[in-house]
Amino acid sequence: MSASTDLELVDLFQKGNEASFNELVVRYQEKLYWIARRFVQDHDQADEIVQEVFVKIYGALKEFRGESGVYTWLYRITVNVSLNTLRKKRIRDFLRIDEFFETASDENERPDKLLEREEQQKLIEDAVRTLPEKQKAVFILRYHEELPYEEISTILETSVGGLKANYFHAVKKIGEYVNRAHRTH
Amino acid sequence: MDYITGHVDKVEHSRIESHLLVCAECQKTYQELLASDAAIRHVSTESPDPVYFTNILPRVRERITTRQNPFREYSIALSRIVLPLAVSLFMIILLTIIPGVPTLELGQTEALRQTVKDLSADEVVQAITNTYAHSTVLQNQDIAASIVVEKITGDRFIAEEIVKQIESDAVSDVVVEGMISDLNREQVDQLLSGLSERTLL
Repeated sequence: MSASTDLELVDLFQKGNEASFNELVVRYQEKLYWIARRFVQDHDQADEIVQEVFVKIYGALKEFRGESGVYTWLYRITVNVSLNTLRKKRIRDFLRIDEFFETASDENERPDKLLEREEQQKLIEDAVRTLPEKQKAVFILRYHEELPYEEISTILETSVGGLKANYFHAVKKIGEYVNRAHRTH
Repeated sequence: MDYITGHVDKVEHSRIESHLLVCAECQKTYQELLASDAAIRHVSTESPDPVYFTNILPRVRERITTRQNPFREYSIALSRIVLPLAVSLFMIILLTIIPGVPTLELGQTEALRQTVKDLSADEVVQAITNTYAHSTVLQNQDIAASIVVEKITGDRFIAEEIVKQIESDAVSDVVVEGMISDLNREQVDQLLSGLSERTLL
């Protein structure tokens, strides 16, 4: 079954072959994990997103009619769920909900042991976090996933011209954020 | 940026290269983007243990099985739809159907406050979501939102802030997450998963 195309797997699933869903999961789990991980920058949240994405896919697969490619569809769901998770987090942070549940952050556990590389990584993550949703999505799908603009255009339902502008501004903003941080250090 | 990351064809590459030699402004932008790229590439996100990827499928399967439990569907329907719907109907009547009442009077505001007083937090959340979807009087929506969110959070200042969020962002997300200092972790997760189920496919 591993030689089957995505569409063939979907077709098999729609005819009652449950194992073809498993094949889709194995085929895309790592890709989708990394998209989610780039968005939320946290393993546990990315894991939660990936599971939710596959559960949604399982529920919707019977209705899939192939208007877009399978992987475009999977990516779109992953981006949507990731953005939704970020929105929730924003609100949760705003309401300080986690303070009721979390007792200590990682930084509190080892305040003096952060390596320079980790700091730099956090800086980039912070910079990405400040990007507007669309810029963030384009940045992740283009820079990290190296998807063609045409695919990203289908996933995000945005014109290619708009995507290129978003991509440019995203990278520029990340650079400016990093520079500002270095100047204030 | 595609030029920097090597995602342009040879012709385009030569064209940009030539242009950069004669255009100071683009050269400056190029240098900035080059620095950004270097900073981003310098870091790498730590990969999960390879074993992790072998465990995704069984956990997804387990989640699917749990979701397919008919009792679970029934209890979700009851808690998320039926009870809140009844409450929201009352609120909709109060807010929009009473003739000649374009905005809430003081007594009605108090009545609304009393109405939501004894509801559980998730009933309130669902009720205000439904109310928002149906009410046509913006000012009443804001008052209703303030009251129920105030009830949820027990803090008027936070309630006002959330209403601002509601006005500027996706209503359902914000309302469902207008959450809620007196919920336990499990209830919070339930609310969040309820929101996830509405994610666009």
